[in-house]
Amino acid sequence: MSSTLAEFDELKWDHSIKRLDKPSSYLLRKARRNPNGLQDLRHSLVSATIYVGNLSFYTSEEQIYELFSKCGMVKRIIMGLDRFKFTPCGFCFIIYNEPKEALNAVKYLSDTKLDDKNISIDLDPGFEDGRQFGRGKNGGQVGDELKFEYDAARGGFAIPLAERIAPRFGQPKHISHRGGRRNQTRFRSQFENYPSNEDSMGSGKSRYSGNDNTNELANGEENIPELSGAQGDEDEDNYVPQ
Amino acid sequence: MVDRKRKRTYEDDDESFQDYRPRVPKRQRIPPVVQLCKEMMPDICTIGESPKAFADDIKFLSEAIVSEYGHEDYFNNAFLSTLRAVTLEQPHKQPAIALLILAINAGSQIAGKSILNFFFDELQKCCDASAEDTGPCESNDTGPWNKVKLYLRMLSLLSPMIINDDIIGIYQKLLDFAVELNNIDESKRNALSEAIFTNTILNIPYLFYFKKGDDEALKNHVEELITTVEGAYKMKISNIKLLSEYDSNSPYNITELIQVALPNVKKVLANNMDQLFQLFCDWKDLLPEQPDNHGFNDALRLPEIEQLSNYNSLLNGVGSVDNMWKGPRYCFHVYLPHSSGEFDTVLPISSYAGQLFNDVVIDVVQSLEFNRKEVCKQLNVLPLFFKEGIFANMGDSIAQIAAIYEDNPLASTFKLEDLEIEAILSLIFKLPDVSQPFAYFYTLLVDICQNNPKAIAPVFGRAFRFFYNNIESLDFELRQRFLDWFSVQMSNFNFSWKWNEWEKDSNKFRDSFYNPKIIFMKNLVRKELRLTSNVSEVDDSLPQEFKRFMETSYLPVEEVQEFYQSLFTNYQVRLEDAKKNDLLFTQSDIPFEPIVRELADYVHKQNDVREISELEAIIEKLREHSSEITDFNRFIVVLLTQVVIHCGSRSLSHANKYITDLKSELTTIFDKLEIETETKEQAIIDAVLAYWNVNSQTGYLIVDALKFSELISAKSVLNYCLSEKNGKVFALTDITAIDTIFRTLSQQLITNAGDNEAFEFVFEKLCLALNSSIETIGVSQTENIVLPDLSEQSEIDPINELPKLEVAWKYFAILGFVKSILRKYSSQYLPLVEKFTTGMTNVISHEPTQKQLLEWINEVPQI
Repeated sequence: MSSTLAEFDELKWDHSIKRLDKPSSYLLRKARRNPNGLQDLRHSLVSATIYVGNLSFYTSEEQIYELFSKCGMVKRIIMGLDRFKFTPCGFCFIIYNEPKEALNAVKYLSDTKLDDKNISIDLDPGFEDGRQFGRGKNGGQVGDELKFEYDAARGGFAIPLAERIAPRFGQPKHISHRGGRRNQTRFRSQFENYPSNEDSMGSGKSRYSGNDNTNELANGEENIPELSGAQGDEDEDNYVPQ
Repeated sequence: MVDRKRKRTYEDDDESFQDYRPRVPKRQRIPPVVQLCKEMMPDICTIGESPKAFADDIKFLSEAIVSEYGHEDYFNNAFLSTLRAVTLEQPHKQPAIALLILAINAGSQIAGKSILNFFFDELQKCCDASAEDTGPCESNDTGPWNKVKLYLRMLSLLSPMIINDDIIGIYQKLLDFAVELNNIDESKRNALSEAIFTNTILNIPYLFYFKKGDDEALKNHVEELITTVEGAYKMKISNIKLLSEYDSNSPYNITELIQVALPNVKKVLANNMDQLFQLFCDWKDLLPEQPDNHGFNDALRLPEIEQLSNYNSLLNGVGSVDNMWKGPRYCFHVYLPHSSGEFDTVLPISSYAGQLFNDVVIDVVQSLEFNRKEVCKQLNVLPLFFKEGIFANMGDSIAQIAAIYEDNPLASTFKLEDLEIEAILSLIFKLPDVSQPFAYFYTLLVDICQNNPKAIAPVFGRAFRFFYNNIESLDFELRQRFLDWFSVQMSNFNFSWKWNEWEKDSNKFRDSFYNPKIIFMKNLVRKELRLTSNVSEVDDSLPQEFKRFMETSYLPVEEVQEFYQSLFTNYQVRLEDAKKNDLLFTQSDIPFEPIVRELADYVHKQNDVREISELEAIIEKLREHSSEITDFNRFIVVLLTQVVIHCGSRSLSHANKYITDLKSELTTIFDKLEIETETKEQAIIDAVLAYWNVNSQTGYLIVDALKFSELISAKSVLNYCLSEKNGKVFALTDITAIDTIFRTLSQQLITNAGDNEAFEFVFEKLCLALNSSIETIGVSQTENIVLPDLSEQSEIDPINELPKLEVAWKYFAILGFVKSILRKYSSQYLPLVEKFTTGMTNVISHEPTQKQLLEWINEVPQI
């Protein structure tokens, strides 16, 4: 149990101003509660991996590359996906060639705009399979389910209109959001051929079993991991993001 | 707070509560000394930021420190480390810190002496460090000799408590050392000598910060020092063309920092130092009387010249600011004097104040690179540490300043924001290397603008216009940096730009391929498109004239059609099919379309179920259709490549996955084909770029992946980019091709360090392109080629004379490219200098071009 975090708790006087490339308070808090916390923190400084949050759902890997390659050589980008829909859900991991480049990204790119969103960047102890999926109840990120404001770039309202006002106002309605239709293909494309689906999750189907939300999904989706080739494309054209 | 406590108690008491969290231990009591440091040190770091509290801060802090200092090691260490941190990271605060130390000295001479010893020891450590090989520095480390400058400045500020001879002795030693280094080789510039000379001279006026002109003895010492060094130091001005920011028609004269240092100091010390006291704060009232002066315990020891190794020429890895001296420090300008009226908006570098502000801004930006938010803040408070009235009001527009100037010619017209942004831009545009990753400077500028958009946005606007107006003569590599900066800036500010200003240019050279302004506009829009998923936002921001740049094809669609057509004997490729970012071979009217689908199915299969025999069988099936295909072998290469990238077309990682998975199968199949390696590799790249014609950036990144998988060589990639297609060399105009060349060469540097083949190849290819454009221009062997004058007054008819203009722009673009690669990869070109020099007459017969190339080649060893 490591409630104290050795060098991370130490008071240092070697700088007149705090550094931005230190683990965030979120990471420190998490590390304090975690038996391997200190080790994770140390890893995060040398893993060459960063977590990027508050991305727009519509931001593509190529856009991320365009911005983040200004800090160093990007080795791999792992898009964060809604674990039911396999669509981007607003975060990603970036693995650089060298740890220094990851620290540079934290220092230089945190809180800059990508696709009109102020992105947040944190150090990361290293990517592991499974972490690319949202952990929220609905498949996306937990934070999104708690937000009350409307955010077009991150799936509109988290809480359906009917629940937000009062039940007497009738049935929940689909809330349209800017760019939703335009980006259907982007949504579709992301889950269609997600490269490590099979690798990371074993057989494609198992991940859906016992999941209440499966029924809500459009037809083609359940078969996604097994889709192959051009035929698959046709099935998925019916897909409408929920 | 109370609620949270309650909740925790509740949770702790709850027996069923299971969590791996430890029970929260009792809050540790912080030792009083640590608590004191936690409260006091931040106050020292922010000293002077609140001018009203400054006098009280000095008084209370000094009293507290006098009573605490010397009792506990923890306090002493924390305090001294904080002093060092502020001295090095926030040099503008040095006078305030010095005042604090002088106040402490007045209260306790022992404490004062101990602090003095600390700074002297730190100075000594830096001198020693340059004789040791300590490996690459941290990115915020400005280098030992820059730190020597900052410590010396601090000691100079403390002159009221130091024996004159002792502090002058340090100056003497450093300047002697600079002279000695400079004299090692009469004909060769010594980087370290120039750095020490300029840095030391710049500090001299600080000796008088608290002494004013009262100390005649000190004045005499300084005069003597200046006269001696002036006679002993021989300036070596080297105008290295390869490092010049402009290829021709530089908008300003080239000046080196070393040239202005001594005259600036002499000027500022003249006339009873009037100018100096217009610059430095008058804190004499706050300065307590100093007891007896201290001396240093030891004399400063400087390293032996032989021990200096890396530091002698300040090579890479010696620290960010020190490394800036590697080549001559040319002064960089953006906001030129009299560009907006009869006045300057930036303090001239040929004044002490101008040089000092530039120095301080660069030190702050470089040493605080780990917190760009704080850099913005410190740059904002900078004027608080200098005398009031040096700068015009923050955010005053040029028109307002002009009006003020008209009313009162003595009022200040200097804009702090101009000065700071010019200094940061000088770091972005630094040649040959940039000291920090570009991202830092770009986002720093974005942050500065975000903090005060009303004041800063117009300042950026003026810089954009300046570079845009000079883009024809701006260095080739710097054009790309300008483009990069501009696009990041715009994507952070809703892509808003006054495009209308450029409408005339865009219209005038509508059909041009090589006009530098058109190239810039085209690449800018494309870059913006790559940075957003909301295409309509970029579209909406563009006036009608520029909408044509929204079309992002790399090659004209007709050429893509031509490429596909060349594969078939009978089948007619339709233009609209060539346009699509899709697999053309799956068109239903292609006879072997079902086989292509089979191939796609094969590629989609999992790694463990794919059998190469199956792939071979599919290819055999295709062979039956060979009458439909012009060159079966080339066709298979194109088809297989396109099927793989089509399967991975969803994103870069998909593409990478498929390429990595199928790497060995592709290699096996390709090896069996009867096709020459070079043709095969060109076919692979052709296939990728034809597929990704709408997004060549993705295309080239996939080409990179194919290169990493060893399916194509670096040489093929370079050859593809540099090849001329219908009179067009995309490597001269398209940023994705330019980036690919630089990226490929830089990767070669890492993977094949000893191999110069790729570098030689690029140089030769560019020489051939030069020859062909010289031939097209049709000048005699001795006649100069001049850049066409396109100013408002020029009488050139842009429509009729376009072909002539095009070839001239092309010629200068190639020359610019050669200049950039020779400079950027000077270490790789160094071994080739002799070969290039001797072979030049055979390669290029046009004399002025030959002369230009030779001049640059001969400068390579100096980079």
